Amino acid sequence: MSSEPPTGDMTEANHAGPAAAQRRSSARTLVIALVALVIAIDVLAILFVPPFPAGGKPGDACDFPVCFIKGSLELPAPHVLWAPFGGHPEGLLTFHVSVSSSMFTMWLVSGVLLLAIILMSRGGPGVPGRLQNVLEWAYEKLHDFGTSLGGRAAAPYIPLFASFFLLILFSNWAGLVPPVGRVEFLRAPTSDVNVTIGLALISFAVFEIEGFRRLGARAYLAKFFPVQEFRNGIAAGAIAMFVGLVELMLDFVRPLTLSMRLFGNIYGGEVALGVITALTLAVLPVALLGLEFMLNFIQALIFSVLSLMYIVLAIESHGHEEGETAHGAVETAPRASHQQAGAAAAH
Amino acid sequence: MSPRAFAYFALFTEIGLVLFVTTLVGALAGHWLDLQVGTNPLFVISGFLGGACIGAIAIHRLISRFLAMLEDR
Repeated sequence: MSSEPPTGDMTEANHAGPAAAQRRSSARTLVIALVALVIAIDVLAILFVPPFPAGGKPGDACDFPVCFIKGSLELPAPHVLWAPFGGHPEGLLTFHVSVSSSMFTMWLVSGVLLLAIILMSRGGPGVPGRLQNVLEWAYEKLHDFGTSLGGRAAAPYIPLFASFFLLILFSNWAGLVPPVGRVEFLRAPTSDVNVTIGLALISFAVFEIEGFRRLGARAYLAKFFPVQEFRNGIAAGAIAMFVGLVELMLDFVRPLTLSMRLFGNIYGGEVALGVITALTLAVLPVALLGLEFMLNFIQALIFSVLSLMYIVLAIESHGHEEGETAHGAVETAPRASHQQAGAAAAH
Repeated sequence: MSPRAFAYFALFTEIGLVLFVTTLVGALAGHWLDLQVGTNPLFVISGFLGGACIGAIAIHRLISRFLAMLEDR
């Protein structure tokens, strides 16, 4: 054993040790107290407002577990808040002009997001405040993420990518806030297939329109109907036409897969959360809530990444496979304009 | 997870869905045709197989274009 006196560092460590242990202990006490509080609220809720059948009144008989589960489930069809032409949608595949609970929640989410972004970026181009720094950091991260995947060709579409990501992310997360999905006029927007189809159709419209605009009508149509391949023989032309038609079909499958993936994951997550909440005490749903929080983030990123990739694929001609891309045209365009500017200056 | 790894992950989630949608559309179209012509399982089976084949080709096209694009960057 050493009889040397403790050094300065060791003394600090000795002082820091009990302080850190005390901090850990108080954090543990806080977590235990919060869990105990949630369980107490849960038990009090079961005693004073026991679960009742969906559409029924408090106090109505409710059998465990079927009635418990049904009471906390949302149906796939959203609740109609306002229908200008009256009536009520019947079934899933109907056309009915109305404002639904999911649309209303989406407007709320969009409004809150817009307001938050406006307030955070109020500093202007001068010295940015802390919140504006956070906002700029987040946008730069999304910009770097998008351009590292799609290159310079993806740069003009980063605002769309970021908008899709933020809107879908906060729409997904809205479903995890307790009143959403529990009251009639609020529902997670992305747990409604109508909303996800709408978002996927916007993505579809953008990648088709951009493909048409950047490639021109001839090159755009040649992607799907490569009639020029008939110059290499009838068999080569027929195969190219078949592949082109598959490509055309794949273009129409994309909005379907985009919307179904988002809807399926968010709605499935909400159902799982509802069932676990109905069957267990509050601790287990909280763990699932953490998992859902992460999965919702991943789903928002998948939708926006795939939308961006589809746009970049759409603006590339099929010559890309031989190394010639519209991306090249993007890169040469500024160079050409610089040369023109130089020539004009020389004159 | 790096952006590229995430893009591969997003692409692989797309594969199953594309195959599912094309096969389902093929089978449903076959079922509709069977109802019109009265040849019950014939067009359902051929629609199912045709949809699966088209799905496989579509996935091959999607993966090759996606990977070519990612390798380009």
